[in-house]
Amino acid sequence: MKAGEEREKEEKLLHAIGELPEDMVTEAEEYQPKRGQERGRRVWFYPSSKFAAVACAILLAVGAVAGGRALYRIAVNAGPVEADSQSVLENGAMVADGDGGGDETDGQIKKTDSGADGGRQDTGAYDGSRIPVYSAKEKKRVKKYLAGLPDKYLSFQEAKDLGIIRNVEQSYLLKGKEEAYFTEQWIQFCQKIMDNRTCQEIANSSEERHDITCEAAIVIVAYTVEGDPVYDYISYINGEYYWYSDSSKDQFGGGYLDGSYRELRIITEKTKKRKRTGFYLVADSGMTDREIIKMLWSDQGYDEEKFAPVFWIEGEREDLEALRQQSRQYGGN
Amino acid sequence: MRDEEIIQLLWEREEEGILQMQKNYARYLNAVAGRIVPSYEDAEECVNDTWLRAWNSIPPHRPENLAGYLAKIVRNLAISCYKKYHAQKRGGDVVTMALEELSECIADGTRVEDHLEKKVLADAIAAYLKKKSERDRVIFVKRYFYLMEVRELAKAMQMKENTIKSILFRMRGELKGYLKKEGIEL
Repeated sequence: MKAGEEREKEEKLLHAIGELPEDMVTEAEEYQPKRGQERGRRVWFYPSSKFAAVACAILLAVGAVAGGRALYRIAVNAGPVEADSQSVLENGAMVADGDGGGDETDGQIKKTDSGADGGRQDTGAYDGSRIPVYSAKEKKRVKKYLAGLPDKYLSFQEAKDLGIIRNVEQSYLLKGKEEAYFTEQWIQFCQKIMDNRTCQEIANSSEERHDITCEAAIVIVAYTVEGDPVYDYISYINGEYYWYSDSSKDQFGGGYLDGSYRELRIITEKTKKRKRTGFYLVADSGMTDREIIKMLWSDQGYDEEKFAPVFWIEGEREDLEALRQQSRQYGGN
Repeated sequence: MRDEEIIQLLWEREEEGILQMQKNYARYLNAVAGRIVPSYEDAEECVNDTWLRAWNSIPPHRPENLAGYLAKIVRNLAISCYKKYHAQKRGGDVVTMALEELSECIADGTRVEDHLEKKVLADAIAAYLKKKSERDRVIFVKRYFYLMEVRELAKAMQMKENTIKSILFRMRGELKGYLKKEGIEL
C-alpha cells in the first residue's frame, strides 16, 4: 500500500513536470554549455606538422648555441657562466633538493623539466602555514577567507604561492610535474594529520582535548566548465574534519556546501580499465567502503552531510596503504 | 517556416500547417518520445498522435512557443504509452489495462480536481525552477521532463556524472522543502 502511495506521488510529480511552461522546456532543449573552456579545458594552439618542424629546428639551434657558449666558457675557465645558463643550473639544484615549497623569488615558472633535469619532479614539502585553520563553528570566517581568493584561473605558480592545491582529477589541465606536486602536497597534508598519533589520541580523549591542539588546513581548487574556480576548504582540528565547498565564484553556482566529518577514508576503486584512489570525508565511521561507492555511483546522488569526496588520484599507490591503515585506526573515535 | 506562420495556418484550418509542423519538429519529437518508449514504432505512433492533438487543440489554444507545446504533448503521450507497455509486460494487469482503456473514454482522462491539482503543482515547480540558475534548471528539465539518462545528460552538459547526480539530489531536496513551504502536500 505504501509503495502504491509512493508510486502515485511520483506519477503526480511526473505529470506536473509535464505541465511546465513551454519556454522552460525549450530552454533546456536549446541550452548549449559555453564553448572555449570545456570542462575548464584551455583552447590550445595545435600547430601544423610543417610549423612544428620549423619551430623544433629553431629551438634546437638556439639550444645548441647556448650550450656551446657555456661549454666554451667552462673549457677556457672563463669564470661563471652567464645568467641564462646559470638559471638552468640553479633550477636543477633546487629541484634536486626537493625544496619547491615557495622558495622561488622571481615569481615565474621555471622550466625544471627540460634538459638533463627532465626526470626529476618538483614535489615540494607541504607547508600549510598560509592557510588559516577554522573549525565548523567558524563558518563565516571560512566564507570570508574563500571570498578573498582569486576569482580566476590560477596558474601553477599562483596556486603554489597561495599554498592552494589543484584538483588533479582535472589532470588534462596540468603538466605531469604539476600533477605530481599537487598530489604530493595532498598526501603530505593527510600524512601530517595521520602521523601525529599522540596528538590525535589525546585529542580524542575528552579530558585533554582542550589542552592540546592538532590542526591543519588545505584549500583545493577545481574549475567549472566555464573556467570559474570552486574552492574546497578542508580543516582538521582535534579529530574533527570540516569541509566547506564554495561555488560563489561559479557564475552558475553561487552557493556553498559544508559539513563536519569524523574520518578521512581512502578507497581504491578497481575496474577493468582503471584504478582510482579516492579520499572521502565520512561523518559516520560505520559506513562501509562499499556503501560509499554505491551511493557515489547511484543515480540518486548522495548526501554531502554523510560523506564528501575531496580528492582523487589515478591508480593505486603503495605508500597510501600505511595512510589508509592509520586513517581507519584513528578515524571517528 | 516560422512558428507564428505555422500556428496561423493551423488556426485557419489549413492542412499545410501540419506538413510544416512535421517538417520542423518530427526529428525533435521523435527524440523526445524515443527516450521514453521502448521502440521506434511506438515513438513514431506517439509523434503521429501529437500532430493530431495539435491539430485538434489549435484553435482554441494559441501556443506562444510551439516547440515546447508539442514537446509537452508528445511527452505525455509517450509516458502513457510507456505505462501501457509496462502494464502488458507485467502480465497484463487487468485493472490497470481496464483503467487505461476507460480513461480514453473520459475527456482528457482526468477529473477537474486532478487537473487543477496538477496545475498548482506544475506552477509551484516552475516557480521553484525560476529561482534556480539556468544551468541547474536545464539539468532538472532535461532529467525529469525529457527523461534523459544521467550519462547522456552529463555528456550534453559537459559535466561529470557525479556532479549531475549531486545537483539533482540537492534540487530534489530543495523542491521537497519548497513544496512543503508552499503548503502543497502530495
